[in-house]
Amino acid sequence: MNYLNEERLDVLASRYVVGQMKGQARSRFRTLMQTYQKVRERVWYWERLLSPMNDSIPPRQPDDAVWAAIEQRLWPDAAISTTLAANDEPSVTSPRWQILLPVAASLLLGVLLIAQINRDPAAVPMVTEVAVIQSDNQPLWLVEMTATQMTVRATQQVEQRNDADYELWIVPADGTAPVSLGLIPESGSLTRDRLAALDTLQVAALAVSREQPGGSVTGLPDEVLFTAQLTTL
Amino acid sequence: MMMKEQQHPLWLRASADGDREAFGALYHDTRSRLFGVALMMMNSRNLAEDALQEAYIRIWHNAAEYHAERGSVVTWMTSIVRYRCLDMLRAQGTREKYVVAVAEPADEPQAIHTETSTDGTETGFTAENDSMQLCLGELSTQERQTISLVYYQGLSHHEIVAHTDHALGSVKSWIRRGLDKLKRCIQRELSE
Repeated sequence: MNYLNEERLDVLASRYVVGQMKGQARSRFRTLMQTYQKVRERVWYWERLLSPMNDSIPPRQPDDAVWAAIEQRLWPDAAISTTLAANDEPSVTSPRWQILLPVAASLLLGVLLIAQINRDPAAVPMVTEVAVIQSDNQPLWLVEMTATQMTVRATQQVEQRNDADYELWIVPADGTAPVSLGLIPESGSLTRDRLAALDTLQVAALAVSREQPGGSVTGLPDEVLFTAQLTTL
Repeated sequence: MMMKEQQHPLWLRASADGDREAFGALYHDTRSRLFGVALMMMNSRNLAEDALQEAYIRIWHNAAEYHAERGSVVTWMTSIVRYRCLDMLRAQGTREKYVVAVAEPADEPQAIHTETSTDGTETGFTAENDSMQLCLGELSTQERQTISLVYYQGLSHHEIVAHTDHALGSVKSWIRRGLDKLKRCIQRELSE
């Protein structure tokens, strides 16, 4: 399915903004948003278009405890007044690196993802399929397929293990045994030739398993840790 | 209100630079509007306050990502609140109570225009709002009701089906057609 077809994209973006998407569909669409400027722009368009609907919602006053909780979570080291005066001076300043660390982590991933689509199209083969393997909403690996290659990029959230390796698998839709795509890195990236089976198999999902060092010895995954949808672009 | 709305980008930019005071000012000027959105979607004060708290944490962390293409600062912030509410609703799968009888804004223009927030600021009343009210009025009752249920209360297709006794296909079709009509109508209105 070509998600970047104008008409299809418009429908998907409107469904996302209104709130009609859920589960895997919502997750897949967010992956597309992270990856493609065109998708983000269409979402922003619908957010702006529908925003006047919010103007008719009666305002309501939240409890003062909400601001106190926000302050506590953002600046736990600071004894900040919870009064509602907006111009109160904070009594303690927390180190900026503590505040910006999560931002930096998310920006890093964003750059990693966005960089994929800002490359010179003439110089780099077009990505045809993409998957983001996640755990608890934390991205672990970005998988990209072109017509000839597969690239797997690890994020810093991947647990480094000396006693095991991670192996990537195709889970066929017809229920036959998973097909190995090989070991994947715990850090950095790895590019290898695209497996020919990808062109003939109907892929239900990708899976990552934990294997003994060197990979599966049985030809089947040992302990499946994560699965992800492979999205065709 | 306009004076303060013009300050929102300044406060947000300062927040991106770590200015807590600016973030506090932004919070106190926008909390009522955003909490109104969260309360309408979650239909529970506790859940709405949880959503609001999470949303402002995200707003602080992502302040640098705002740009004019996202619409006004409040539009951007409201989207963050809405998505947080939708995530919570979809994750919990249930809600404390449904309110299917939506107060449709198009039916109560006077009530909308005179609404005043607890901050003492009036709610938005803009040319875009005028167009939206007019365009909502052009939708069929079913289109307007289903869009209201999904947008204002975050109901899924199946929840709408369960509470209105309409067929799933009809619900999907009304929402799709209604959104198409809204889009065309608002574009027409704003271009005139």
